[in-house]
Amino acid sequence: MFRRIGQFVVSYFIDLGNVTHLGLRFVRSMFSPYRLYHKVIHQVYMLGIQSLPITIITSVFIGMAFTLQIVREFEKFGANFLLGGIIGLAIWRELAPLLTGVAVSARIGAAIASELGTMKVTEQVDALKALSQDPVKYLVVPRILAVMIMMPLLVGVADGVGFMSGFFVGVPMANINPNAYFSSAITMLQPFDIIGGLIKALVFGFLIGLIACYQGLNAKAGAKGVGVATTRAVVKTIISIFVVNYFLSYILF
Amino acid sequence: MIELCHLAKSFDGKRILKDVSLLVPSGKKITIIGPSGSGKSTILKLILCLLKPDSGKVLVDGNDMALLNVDKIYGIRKKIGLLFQSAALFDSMTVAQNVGFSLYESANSFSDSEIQKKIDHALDLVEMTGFNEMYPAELSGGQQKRVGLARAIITDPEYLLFDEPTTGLDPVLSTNIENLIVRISDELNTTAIIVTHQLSTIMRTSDLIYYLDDGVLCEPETPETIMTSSNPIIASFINGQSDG
Repeated sequence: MFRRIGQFVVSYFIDLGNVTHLGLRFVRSMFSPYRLYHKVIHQVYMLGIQSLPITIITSVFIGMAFTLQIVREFEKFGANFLLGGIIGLAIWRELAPLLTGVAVSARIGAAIASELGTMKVTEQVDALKALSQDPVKYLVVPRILAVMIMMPLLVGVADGVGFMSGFFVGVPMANINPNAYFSSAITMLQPFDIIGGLIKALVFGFLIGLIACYQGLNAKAGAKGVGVATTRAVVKTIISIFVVNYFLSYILF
Repeated sequence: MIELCHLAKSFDGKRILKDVSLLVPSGKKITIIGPSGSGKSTILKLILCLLKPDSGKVLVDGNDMALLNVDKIYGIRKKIGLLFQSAALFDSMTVAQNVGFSLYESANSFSDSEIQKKIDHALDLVEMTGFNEMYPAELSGGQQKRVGLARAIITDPEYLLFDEPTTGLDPVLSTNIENLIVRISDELNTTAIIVTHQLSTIMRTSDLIYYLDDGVLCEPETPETIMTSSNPIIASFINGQSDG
């Protein structure tokens, strides 16, 4: 058993070292001149725009479900007039970045890992190298940048959609004046509550892109290897998001 | 000139290449033969620095690949064209985009129309004219290999490496590819290293033939001498192919 624990710890730190190394190569490659713009735009469309529906659906239902619980509890204390502020606080600071991160991990992280994994096992990554192209520049940098660009935009959409879902469910349920919903939000919330959430989104975007690219480029041979890489990408990305979210919340708010 | 000096390479603790030394003279077509899994393709990947040797050196035009930085390795790779066993075409790109990839992505002074002309010429050489807008998934295995060959030759490389160029193809397609290898190597005056275990490819395309036995290259044969080789391992391999 100790041997297995030891192997797990060693492989964890090897992975951590390799992911950090890939992150450093990403930063270095980002500043070297090459045709980056078109590749990033292509990836923004492929990965980001197509993630809009899942983001909207997730934030609508999270906003509604959260409001449902909050209204029931607040009614007991006669605190319904705080509804807009509390929902805004929860959604903008925590729920929108976190749950959009999870949804995007499942949608984009899996897509990146499976695409790069397939390229790896079919020798397309070796072909890139043989054709004098650096896979980090060609494959990794555009994808990480695309996710980093799209995540704050998607979280911005989730902020708005989630907050308004709370409005449409909460105002009739709590029987409050619609203006009170917005005025409590204005009173209780600061611009940094939104900005902090967007900073989180940027960091989560980096993590999703980096971990998914790493897992894809390290897929082992065969369809099973691609499947394992895809699963690992999603699981490790989600775990990383939850862990990093705690520390970001501590630092930012 | 490509020179391999005492190359050794292991995978998961198993020594695949033990001591491989080879000098490839300019303009010659060298074939490396041997059973599946003997490490033939590994030699090609070591030449391109896609793998690092455990020991030994790969010298390309006198440059020790292990001592070069990444940018210089990419510079050397521009002199080398590789046809992968699986063709390894980029499946999200059309035939034309695959073939012109090196030109589109490199910092060169070619205009789009010049690149298009080069793509058409390369596809013409491999007899794939008119397939420009098709995707790899729409092509047969033989057609994919031809496109892979066009992609390898579009930059007029000094060296061409062929990894099992005819494996899995029917005899007619195999003959076509073999003729293409000879014609293109001669027309472009390139040095070629062909890795295969197909007897027809060995006989049609080679100037010198090396047998990879237990991680070591045997003394070279020619297409004329290999059929009557005094080396029992080579004789057994050739007779097994002939009988099979």
